Amino acid sequence: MMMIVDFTKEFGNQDLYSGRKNGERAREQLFSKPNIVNDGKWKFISRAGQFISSSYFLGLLGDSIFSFSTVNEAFKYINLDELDQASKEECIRAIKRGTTPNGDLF
Amino acid sequence: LIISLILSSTIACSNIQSTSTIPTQTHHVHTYKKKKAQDVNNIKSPKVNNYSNSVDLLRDFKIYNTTNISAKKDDNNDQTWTKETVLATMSFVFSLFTLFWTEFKEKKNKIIDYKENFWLKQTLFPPFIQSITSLVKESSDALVKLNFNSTKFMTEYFIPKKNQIEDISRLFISHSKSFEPAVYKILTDLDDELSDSINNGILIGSDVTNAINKAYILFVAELDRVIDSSKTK
Repeated sequence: MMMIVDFTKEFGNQDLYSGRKNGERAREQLFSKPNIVNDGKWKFISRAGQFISSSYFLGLLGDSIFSFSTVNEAFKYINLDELDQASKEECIRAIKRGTTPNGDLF
Repeated sequence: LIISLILSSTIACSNIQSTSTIPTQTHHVHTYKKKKAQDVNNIKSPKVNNYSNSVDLLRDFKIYNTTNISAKKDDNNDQTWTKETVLATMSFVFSLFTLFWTEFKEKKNKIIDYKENFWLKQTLFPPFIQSITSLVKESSDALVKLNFNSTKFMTEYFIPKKNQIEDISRLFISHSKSFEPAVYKILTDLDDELSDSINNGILIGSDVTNAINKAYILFVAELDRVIDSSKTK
């Protein structure tokens, strides 16, 4: 099942989502819901004016971000079409971090 | 190097002096040989004969042959390796080795110096130091300018600055593989600390300054590690 994260509805509909630890907390919250089985696919939705930082995405995606060998491979599993442009760039930055050889250090 | 060269040359000279006595000995032998040859001619000559009988003639021939053989033996001994020759050769080889080793070390030091002074200190360090120093200098002013609004501060100032420092740190990959991940970890921890300090959409100036100053010290420590690692290579 694809994990849909709608920032306009979840986590208080804030303007700013930043910090890896906050992302990890959000991940725990998402997976604590009943009947959640993630097949590795993600979709993010945000409104204009909302900003999600790369470190937040790193915490939210968890270890799955390190399983992709290339950015293009990651895009097959992560849908960014409905993200605000600034947040989209931050998410791409996080994915690039995950696909670099040193990414697993974090 | 100079001492070993002097030592080798001194030993070599003393060896030459010791061997130079041999031609004098052979000279004596040759003189004796000529004299004996004259004696033999005298023997052959029916007019002048110093030998009263054949027993004396035979005795002199024996003396001549024995002397000649011993002189040949001395010549053979001159060709063998003496202690002085071995020491001189060893000193010479050692001197050559020292010479080449010094040359090799000098070249290596020049390369290290070029890498460290030009690439690190003049090319890579300045933009990085400029970025982290400006973060320390400007953050307080930026926070005031943005009315302590956490969203504006993070989106308009801190996150772009953080991304800039992260990008510059990637340039260090040719000198240190651990630098960029270490910088990224410091930045992520700083991001975490600032995010945790947000209270009702407001960031407090002292919290921001403390967190950034702490990160600055860690950045400087990482720069020191880059210099240390370049010296050990």
